[in-house]
Amino acid sequence: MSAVKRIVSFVALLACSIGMLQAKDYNASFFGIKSNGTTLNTTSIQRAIDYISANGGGKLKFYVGRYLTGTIHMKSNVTLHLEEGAVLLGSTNINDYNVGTPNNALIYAKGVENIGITGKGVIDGQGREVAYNLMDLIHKGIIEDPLDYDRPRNNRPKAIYMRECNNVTIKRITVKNSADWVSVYDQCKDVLVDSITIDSKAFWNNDGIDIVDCQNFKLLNSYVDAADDAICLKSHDASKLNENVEIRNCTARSSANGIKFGTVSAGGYKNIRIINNKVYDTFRSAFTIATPDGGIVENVLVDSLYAYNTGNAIYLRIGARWNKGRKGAIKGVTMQNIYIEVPAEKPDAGYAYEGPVEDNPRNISPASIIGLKGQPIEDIILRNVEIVYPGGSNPNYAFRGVSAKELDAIPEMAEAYPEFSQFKELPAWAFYLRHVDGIQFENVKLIAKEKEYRPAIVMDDVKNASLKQVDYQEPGKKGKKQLVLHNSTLKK
Amino acid sequence: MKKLLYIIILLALPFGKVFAVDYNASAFGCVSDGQTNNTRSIQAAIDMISAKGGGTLNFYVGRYLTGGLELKSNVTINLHEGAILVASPGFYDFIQKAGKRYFIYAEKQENIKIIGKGVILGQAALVAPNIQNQVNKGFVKESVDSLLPTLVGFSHCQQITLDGIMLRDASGDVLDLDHCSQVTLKNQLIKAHASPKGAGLRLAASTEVSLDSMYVDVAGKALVKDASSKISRINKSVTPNGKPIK
Repeated sequence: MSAVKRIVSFVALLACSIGMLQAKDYNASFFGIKSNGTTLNTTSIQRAIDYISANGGGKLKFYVGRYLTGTIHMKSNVTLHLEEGAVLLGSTNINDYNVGTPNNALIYAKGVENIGITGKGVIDGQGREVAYNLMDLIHKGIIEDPLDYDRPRNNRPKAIYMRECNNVTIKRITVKNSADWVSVYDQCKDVLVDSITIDSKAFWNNDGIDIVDCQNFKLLNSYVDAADDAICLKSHDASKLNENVEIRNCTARSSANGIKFGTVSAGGYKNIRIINNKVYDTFRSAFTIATPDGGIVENVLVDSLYAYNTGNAIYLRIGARWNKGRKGAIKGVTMQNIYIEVPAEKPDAGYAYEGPVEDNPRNISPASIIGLKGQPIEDIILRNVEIVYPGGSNPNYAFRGVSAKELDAIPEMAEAYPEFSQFKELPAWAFYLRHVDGIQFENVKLIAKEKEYRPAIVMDDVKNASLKQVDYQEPGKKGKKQLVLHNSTLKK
Repeated sequence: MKKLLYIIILLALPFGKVFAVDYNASAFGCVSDGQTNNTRSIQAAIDMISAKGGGTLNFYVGRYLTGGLELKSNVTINLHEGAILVASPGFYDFIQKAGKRYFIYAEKQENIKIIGKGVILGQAALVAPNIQNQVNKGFVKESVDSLLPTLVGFSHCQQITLDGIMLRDASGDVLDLDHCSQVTLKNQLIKAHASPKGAGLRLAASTEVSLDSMYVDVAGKALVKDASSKISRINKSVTPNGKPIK
């Protein structure tokens, strides 16, 4: 039996190498694909992909023009190459997509390998028009949908969805205007996303890039501007996890979070490196880890993160929402060489689909690290960190004091959707820590531009905390007690 | 006597429910992209709901750009958390009545509610330059200050409830009540700094007005009322310095 297997794999290897040799370039026009922007090319593009895949693989090249299409399915060993000026244009008719499939998408790939999308061209999902047309069919009763917030919950096509794919290369393209999450890689292995641009504020729920339960994923040198979370790691499957993910040299803007773990966090995250990234004009957190569904977060390094005009600096949170008895954990997060500025006003004002005004009344929220009772967040290092806050909180508008009674009155909110603003007013202006075991502040500068009624740091149920070279700057508040400990101990 | 009242109320409740129909804004073609002007769609929704005996028009999270709207009897506007009615800044987009301008307005109506954690946003910074532009060109003769629209105005209305809604960024006054009665204002954040004289609440000949848990942060006076207006109750209502509103 094993001999047979060996022969089979040998033949397969041979076939593969022959395939590689045969990899060819094909122009889209060979297959009757039109670039006039009005001819619907779904079937001809699909025929091209199928043909190329069946004939040893290769590149399907699109030159300048507008190529209208519905859902196309990627096949093994095929690369879509969009030359500069080529636009793959999503049909505005929802029926041109693989509706009914969970995660329907303009470019859909499942269980294939050695695939790619390359070139300086554009994928434009025309998402707003698609969503409006979908909504119209829902109102007419043709498509059933429960509606979320008076918007279609299901069937909004993503621009790119890849599931269980190996060896994926996405390079240089621009992806625009999705009706749903813009690009999703779910349970994929060996993925390189390099030098791409995502520009999608077309509709609600436009996550920029979702990395879900992937192994060996690199996101490099990319620019993401999205209506929902910009760069987002998720874990949908409790038996899977995101492992060996590197996010480097990227810039993110978002009407939600800049770089986020979650919200769905069933399995977890391990060995994640987030290096030299910028976040700006972001409504929620610059960096956040949320594990409300039992996911285990281990060994995370955030180095050289610069965030400007972000609604919140950092939010780490364990919850118990859909965890089904499993216990989420965050253990070993190092955040170093970080500079963050938080403004007084709404950071994403004026954008279409800007983040919702919510969880009011509250003054500017502090960065927060919040575990659960008996489930502390463990081993956190903050090294060479500077955070600038606007200050100027008004206790008459929203107030949370620091007496034992007032601190104990802050709800745990374990089952709630984890968001930096979920507690409304918090009692600190720079850091609020609760249920943490092992946290090290080293060379941390916390600046409030105006007077604050709150102390800089409040610790509640925090063990093994150490503060080295922590510098508080608040105008006219020399000698103010900036550190409040409640059921907490500092390491000597 | 009280018992009888309760029984009547209890009896009336199920009937009330039959009439209180819920409508989603999207059903009328309203979209929350912050760019599409929804004036006609929202007004059509309000008119239809009122004509059918009343109900609730629900707006969910998003920015609903709209010109001036006239509220009608028995219509509740529910701005759910994150829903924002954004004033279209065009000068001619506001409701004009008796030489004054309003974003949200009602006249001779009753039983009107605006509820929810949403926002009514005046976009003052965009409105004033548009007015100035028209004054400069000579199409409008008055001074800019006298033309600044009030954010929300009620005239000769009864049974008005504003609960939870944030009123922000008004060009002129924030809330104007003229010859109104039975007005309940509660749990509101009012914030507007664009107009130096802009009042938070301006009352003229209005009675049975109650304020509960209001936070009024405006450049002008939090509350201006004439001699014939009567506030029946003020509870936990403050300005940013913590002083109670009087």
